[in-house]
Amino acid sequence: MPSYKLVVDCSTGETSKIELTADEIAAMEANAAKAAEERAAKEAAAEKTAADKASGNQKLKDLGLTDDEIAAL
Amino acid sequence: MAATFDEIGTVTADGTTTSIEVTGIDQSYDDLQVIFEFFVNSSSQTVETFISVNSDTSVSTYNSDTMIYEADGSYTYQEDYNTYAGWRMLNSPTNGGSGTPYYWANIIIDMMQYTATRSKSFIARHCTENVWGINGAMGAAGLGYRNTAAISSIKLANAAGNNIGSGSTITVYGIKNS
Repeated sequence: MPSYKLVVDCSTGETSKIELTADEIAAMEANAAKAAEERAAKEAAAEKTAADKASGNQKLKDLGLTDDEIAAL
Repeated sequence: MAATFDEIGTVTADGTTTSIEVTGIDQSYDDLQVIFEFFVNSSSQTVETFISVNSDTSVSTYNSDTMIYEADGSYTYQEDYNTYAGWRMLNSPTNGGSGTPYYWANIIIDMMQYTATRSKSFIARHCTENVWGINGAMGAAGLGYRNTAAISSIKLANAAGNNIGSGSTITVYGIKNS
């Protein structure tokens, strides 16, 4: 299905609905792919950080520290 | 002579296009202020949108440094350098798949010396407050445009192919110094 853009020419006030060019479509697709890749990497990093934090906290608790003591570190 | 602040033009989305654009921007002003008020038709909580100029689809001309405060209390620092064809607007709100959402993106970009024949840097302020508590964000960004061409058109697009929500607008104001 073709994608369109709505364009207003400020110099004339004319409004047009124009099909995106091949360049514009390629740029959109590349942007979407890159953004999805970055988002996935960010989510994976956040999950790892959360897992590391939980693991670290548990190890400190195993040593006898309380939650308040861990939070104060 | 008094300074002036004139509306140059505006485009209002009808909900059937993935991009909205203003072209033919008057070149006789000193600076531009561009106001974006929008949402995206998408079932995702938030999406990324991209603002580009001059029909420029290269990645080597757009750079940005963004800092936003997110609704979960975290800060996001994001540098995009030669990465995207356009400046990436993080956490752009959606309508959840239908209708008109309560929260819209509000972004203001000041384009100083937009006709300068050198690389240009602009300032963005944004409040892309979705349902606060779910990926809302407010912050600012520095936008670099490594091209010597004057800014003559400005486009907002959603990369994922979703349509810009009906009623969304780009409005361009021209500022003339005294």
